[in-house]
Amino acid sequence: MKNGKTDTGKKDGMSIVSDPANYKKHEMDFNEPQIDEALKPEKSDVSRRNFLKLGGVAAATATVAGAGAAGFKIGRSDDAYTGYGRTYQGGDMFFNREPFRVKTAAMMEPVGKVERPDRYDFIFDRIGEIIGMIQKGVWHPGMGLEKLPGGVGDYYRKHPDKYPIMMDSLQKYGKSREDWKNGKHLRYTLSAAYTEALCQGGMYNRHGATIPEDPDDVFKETGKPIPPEEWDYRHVKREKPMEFKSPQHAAKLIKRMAHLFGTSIVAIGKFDPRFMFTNKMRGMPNGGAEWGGKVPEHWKSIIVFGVPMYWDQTYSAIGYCTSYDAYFRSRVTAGLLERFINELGYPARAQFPGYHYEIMMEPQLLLTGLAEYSRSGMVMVPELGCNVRPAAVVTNIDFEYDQPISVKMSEFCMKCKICAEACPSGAISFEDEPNTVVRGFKRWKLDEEKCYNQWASGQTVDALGCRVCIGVCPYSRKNTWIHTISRELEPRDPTGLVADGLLAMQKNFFRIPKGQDFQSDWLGGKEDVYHNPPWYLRAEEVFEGIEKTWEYHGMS
Amino acid sequence: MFPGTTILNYLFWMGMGMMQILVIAGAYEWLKHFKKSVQWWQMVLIYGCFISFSLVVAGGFTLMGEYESQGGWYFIGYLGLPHVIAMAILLKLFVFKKAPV
Repeated sequence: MKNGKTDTGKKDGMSIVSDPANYKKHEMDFNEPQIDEALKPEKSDVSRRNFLKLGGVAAATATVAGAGAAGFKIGRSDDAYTGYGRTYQGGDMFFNREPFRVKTAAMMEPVGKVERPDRYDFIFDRIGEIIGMIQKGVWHPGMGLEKLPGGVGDYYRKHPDKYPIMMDSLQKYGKSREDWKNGKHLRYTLSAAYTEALCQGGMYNRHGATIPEDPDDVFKETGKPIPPEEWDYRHVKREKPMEFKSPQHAAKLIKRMAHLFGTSIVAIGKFDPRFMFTNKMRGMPNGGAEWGGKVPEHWKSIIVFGVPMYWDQTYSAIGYCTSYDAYFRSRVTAGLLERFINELGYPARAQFPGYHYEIMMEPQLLLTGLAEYSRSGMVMVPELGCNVRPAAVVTNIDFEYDQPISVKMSEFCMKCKICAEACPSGAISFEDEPNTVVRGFKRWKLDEEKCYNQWASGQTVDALGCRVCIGVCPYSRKNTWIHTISRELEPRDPTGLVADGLLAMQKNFFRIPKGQDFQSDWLGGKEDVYHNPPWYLRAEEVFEGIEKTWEYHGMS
Repeated sequence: MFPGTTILNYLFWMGMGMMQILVIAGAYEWLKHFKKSVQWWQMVLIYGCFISFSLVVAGGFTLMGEYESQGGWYFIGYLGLPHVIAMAILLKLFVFKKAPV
């Protein structure tokens, strides 16, 4: 068969069937099955596999973006402002100190004979006496050190290197007051108003201290000496004090009340008379110049507490910063707690800033485990760094006492030195270790004359405070998760690698002006700031007539 | 993070957590796409590097939130770059490895 034809020429049956010309299309053709349209499956544009691939990439991108957004919001969050949010619930005191309790705090082991501080060791008493003498015409700087009378004269003759610095400070004080009077510092109008509101509007009135009451003010009004045996009991009405169930009950209650009265951190310790000034007792003639070394019998326990200065201001020292927001709040706590304890039938005496003390505050913070000592001469609290302004109430209640802590903050200071590098007056020691013996204890000794020299010449409305060291301290940071990681990891790391890493980042990643740059322009400085001031302190953005001749840097 | 609300914060983090399932599922699909496979512990390392990088970004932006803009960018740059390098090494080692001869 050839070509579908048999040898005889006739067509074969199969070839007839398979010839397309003979093919007739039927309705039910199996090559094209007829299916109901409604049952046809939809064609999907994105398969499940593609969804997972694209979705995975999108989710990864969103994770990184979300992490960044969340981080930024956390950094700006109200919750980050320790001391200004969770205070009344006690939420500011979030660092668990219990794993770090020790018997003796760093730098609190005596290395020599322990001596109590004298009133003239307190620079404000020195300044007060000198200015008082000048105002009364008893002495003036032109008469020289040899003729400077009284205990203050004896002090400067014993430390003659400090005398010229103090005299320079008085001159600079005069110049800076003149500048303010002549309207030079319009730039700082708002921070000045903020400072004065807190100080003159909140802390003091024409009678003296508003809160707490100060026995010196009453002595000035009445002329009658008021010893602590009288003053500390003045509001006690009960025949017998309320008896606590246990020292633990007492401590727990008073700490809770301290938070309710506005403090961020609180601890209680045994009153240590080694850190009580001699010849200093408020309510007595001349501030207790003849008091000697007597320790009131009822000064048994000390409740120590503190609050931070507002964070944004602190970072924009010098001109935009003040101590008074924290001073005012810690004074309120001191006054309220003092009265509360009196109401329970116990004596109480508030020790409060700026200069209403018979005691040195900082050792008490160390002894009670609130803080550790630092290079700058201040104490450092885990929650607040150096940004803490303490006050205290002394009483005779039996408490369960807190113990000191060791969280390696002082060890960090040995390597860090950022505060010393940023100090405008060079008052902070650069020694690697605290080698200066001060009244029996090793310290990094702050040169308070140089420190005050900066205050007197600075841009603040009252020539008080500089606070650069507080703002630049790596521990003085708000409460965000990255600082929490540092705070928790660093004291637990025996190798010191965490501290080294953190310090390397601190020194290389962050812009910190040099000390000279913080100074006033008439001293060759730039009035620079670590952080830009918050908007509500930028007078040029709110008021007419203030020409902006300075620059802000970085993020506003 | 969301002032004035009490729930959005939790919803945000729940959403971030749920997205991680998609991240890992997507990663496995990409492996199939390239006809590769990894062991479970290798995926843990790769994912861990990704999460660590996200934390670096979060940390840098937290610093920026605290008005430390220079610190924030330096933080991301100096700590993020090693993460990118580490991720490249992990992918080369575990995913795009040379086939045995």
